[in-house]
Amino acid sequence: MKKSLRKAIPLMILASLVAMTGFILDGMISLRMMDAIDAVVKLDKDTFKAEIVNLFMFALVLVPVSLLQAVCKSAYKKKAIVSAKRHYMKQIFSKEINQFQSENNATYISALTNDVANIESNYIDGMYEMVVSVLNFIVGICIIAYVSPIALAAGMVLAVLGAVISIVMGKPLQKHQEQRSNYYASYTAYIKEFLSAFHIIKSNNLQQKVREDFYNKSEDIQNKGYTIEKIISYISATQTFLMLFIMYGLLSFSVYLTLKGHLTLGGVILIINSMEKVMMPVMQATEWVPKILSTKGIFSKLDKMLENEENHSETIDMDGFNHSITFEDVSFSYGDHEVLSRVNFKMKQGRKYLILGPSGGGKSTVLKLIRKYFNPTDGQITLDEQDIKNITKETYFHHLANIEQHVFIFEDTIKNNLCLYKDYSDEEIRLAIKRAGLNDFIENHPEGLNRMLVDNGKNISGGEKSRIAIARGLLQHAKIIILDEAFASLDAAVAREIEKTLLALQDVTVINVSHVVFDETKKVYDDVFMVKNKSVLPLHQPVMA
Amino acid sequence: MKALLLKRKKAFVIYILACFIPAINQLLGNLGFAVLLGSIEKASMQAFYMAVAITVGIVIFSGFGQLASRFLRIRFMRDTLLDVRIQAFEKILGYSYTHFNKKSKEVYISNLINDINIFEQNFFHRLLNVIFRGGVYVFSLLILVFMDWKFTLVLFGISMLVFWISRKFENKTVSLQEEVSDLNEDFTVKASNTFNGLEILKLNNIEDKFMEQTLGQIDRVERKRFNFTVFTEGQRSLTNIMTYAIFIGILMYLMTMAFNGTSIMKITFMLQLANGCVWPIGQVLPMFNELKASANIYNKITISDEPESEIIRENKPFEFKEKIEATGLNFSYEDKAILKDASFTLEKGKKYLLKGASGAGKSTLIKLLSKTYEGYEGTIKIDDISYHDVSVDAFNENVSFIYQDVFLFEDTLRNNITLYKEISDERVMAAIEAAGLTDLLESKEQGLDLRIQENGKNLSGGQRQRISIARAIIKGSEILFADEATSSLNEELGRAVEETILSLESTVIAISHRFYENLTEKYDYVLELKNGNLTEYPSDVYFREVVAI
Repeated sequence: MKKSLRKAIPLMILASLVAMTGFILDGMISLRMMDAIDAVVKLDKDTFKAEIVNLFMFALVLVPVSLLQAVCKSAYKKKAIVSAKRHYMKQIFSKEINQFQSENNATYISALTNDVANIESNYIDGMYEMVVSVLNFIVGICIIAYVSPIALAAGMVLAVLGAVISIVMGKPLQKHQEQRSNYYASYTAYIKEFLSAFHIIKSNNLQQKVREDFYNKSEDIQNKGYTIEKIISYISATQTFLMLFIMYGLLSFSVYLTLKGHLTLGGVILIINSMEKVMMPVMQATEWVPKILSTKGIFSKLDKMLENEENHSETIDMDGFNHSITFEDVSFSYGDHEVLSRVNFKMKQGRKYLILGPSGGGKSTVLKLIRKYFNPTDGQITLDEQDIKNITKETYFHHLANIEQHVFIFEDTIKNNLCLYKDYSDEEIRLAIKRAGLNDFIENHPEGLNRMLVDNGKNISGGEKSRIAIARGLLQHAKIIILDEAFASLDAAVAREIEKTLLALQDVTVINVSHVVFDETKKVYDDVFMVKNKSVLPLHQPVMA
Repeated sequence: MKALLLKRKKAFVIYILACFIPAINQLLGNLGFAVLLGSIEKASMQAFYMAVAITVGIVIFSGFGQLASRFLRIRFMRDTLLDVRIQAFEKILGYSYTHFNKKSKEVYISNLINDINIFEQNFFHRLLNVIFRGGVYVFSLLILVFMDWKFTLVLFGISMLVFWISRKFENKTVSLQEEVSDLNEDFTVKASNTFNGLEILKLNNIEDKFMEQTLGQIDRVERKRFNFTVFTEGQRSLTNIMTYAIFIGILMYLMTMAFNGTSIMKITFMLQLANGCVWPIGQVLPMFNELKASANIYNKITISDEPESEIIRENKPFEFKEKIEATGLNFSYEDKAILKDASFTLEKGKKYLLKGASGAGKSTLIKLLSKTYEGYEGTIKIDDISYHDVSVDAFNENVSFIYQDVFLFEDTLRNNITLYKEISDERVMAAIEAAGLTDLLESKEQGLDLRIQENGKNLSGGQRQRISIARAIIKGSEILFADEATSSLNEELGRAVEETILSLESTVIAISHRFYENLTEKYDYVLELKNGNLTEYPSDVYFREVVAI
């Protein structure tokens, strides 16, 4: 993830160069200002007027430089964020389906929005601010050194002293801050628990108890916050004192040098101004460094999220399906939980199969194994004698058409929804439409194939969606059509119609996985398998018997 | 908001006064600066030592002033923030369940965590700064009036101009920000849709096309944000240059005064005061807007939006002797029809299993039958009394729930099971045994006094679930609602618990995707939900047809 940000480095360099130009201009202004003030002290009106004109000129030059800097900084940020997001998206898209699904979609969205935003405001901004601060610091030092090296030395000593004392004083805070963050974690967990159990609380009249618990947790947080604030008060007062001490100490020292004739009034003001330029970056660095370091955890979390755990290299391209798919002694477990145990069965090319079973019985695992979402824990699944584990996903999926309970419809024309953005001849499309039983649906609408489908197909019926999915499979010449509870949300009559269409398809193997099917339709399949108790067993077929 | 701040009037007044201390510190600092520079003009070491002494005094005073200011403020902040938390919590706790369910849990989490954090970080900080900057502005102008009233008048004019320009910028910034946030939201919705369909995209080998689309959307959002950053950064630079130009203008005027013999000390002091007048007013405006935004957050999270009319006051007692009868039930949830004209009867003591695809509305049906949702069409009657008329308290006394979510108190195991009611040890032990918690009890020395850690950290998911089952059993309710009661238990334990549930005298209405052979069939009826249609099957018919083919 972090590597993807490197693309923004050239822009960062450009932005720093422009910023540097700005700082140098700024430094020159300070020098002019010194001359102007000294002119006043010497009551030299002409020099004063000339310097004032100079100062306004500089202001004019600063305008384009500042605007250019704004553009460069924005371009750097844009490049960095786009690189990060693109990298993230690409990695997500290349994840294995089962691994993608092992996380909730909300997690990915949150990573893409919250985590990237965090990286932006802490790391991307932080890096830029650090580089710019360093440059600003260098320019400030050069100017003071030019006017009075001795004042610079005095200022540095005072600044280092101040920084050391603030660091030392920050120590006792850490412990309390850790404690508070634990209180926060406990508070957050409690709130989540409370919200999930809202009904339990209401129905058991537990409001009073919950109220007390919440009060205690909130009080812990606020009291700890109070303790922290108290400590911060001492720190902040000491820091204010030190800051003022340094500023006025340096001022007094400069005034002393002036009185001794080593410096002019203009020089004093210049030193005070530039000292701010030296101090500000130091203070900013102490603010940004912890922020930049804090992103380390986020980076590693994102990298972990993007990893693909199992990577079996697939070597064989599937070029057809001629004989059968066979489960040979296949077992599968999710962790310790065994779902399938030594399963054996065979499905032949061109035949129609029905896979039944109670929900939770292992049907969907059989389906996922066929779809290559994961490989069997034991045994193998072969397609025409090849272990499907070795077949490349692209070619395998090409021969597989899927009809789900919820068919995914794109916001596009029917044609694109059928062809899935690939090129097919009109003749091919016409034939697929006819075989899928979509003829009437398309011809009865004035726009025909160019009709737009919107909002995941809200303007068409469930049956029509299923037929679109069938036509998709036919168009890509899929050898195998898999139905995954495809009829669960269809009316019985429509379901039966579609089933009839499918069963009439020649040369296509149909595997229908379902948890509810009634007696009459069962008979039209070539074979029915029952998935139950970790096994897959054929059912005796009255018709074939 | 007012009521919240004025709840502790005296503390609030002290708070406000304490906010002025930093303003005084700043003015004193200006004075110290002027005195030191003035000593150059006098060119005497004595004047210099005097000036240093004054400055040292000011520095020490400022340090203590800062300390005092904070100490006078933070206690008030603590007490007020605690009030905000409690008020926000009370608001949610006071909701009826129906109203509670109108928003997702994420909204409440964000109210109780993010919003309160934002309020905590912003409100007092902005309030302090508004008072501080406003104070510096007013004090500086007042002092300047006595030194040079014409100059002050011009300064006042400039500060108003700056204020006006800042406001113009502010409006543009806000509108740009809204555009960015709209585009971002749009992108999030689209990305979420794509993630939902990623499986299908991959199965159809078209993920590349969609990836390109998504990447294109990322580019579009970021281009808009680029414009936004350029604008805000550019605005900042221009403002800085404007500051600089105004500073030179002021300098020019004051220096001409110097040529006319005014002392350096006076000029320096005036220069610093003048700087203090021009800028704070422009900075106060966005701060003030943020202060208002924080106050709005407070209103949002603490003022209840539940209309009185929704709070139904029922009073009939709960009596269940024969049956629950639903007629012509219609219910939609988030624009989706869950039930279409459903009619069915539940007989007392029978066990019902709800079946249907995920999203078909099984949980919603349980919520209707448990008087959790009231906004349905049609009637549900319990022994001829309308559900709407039965008192919620009486109803809840007589039913129990087993959900996947279990709420645990940081208290003893016993209190977590009895939920703080007086119940004999024997009954507690019986419930523990029936819920399969005996193992847990025997493995711990403390027995019933075992402390459950915060949110049940010291328990497994299965153990938590069994506590919820024990609660339901001990309550001995007339009706038991079980939503995936055994889903987090292993096969063996799940069977045992399911057996217990089926052996209870209560009427049971359950959802379960688990199928326990020779056990699940013992439910009396299966209610199947499909496309809003509810069909009741005697379970032997359902399981013979479907499973025992």
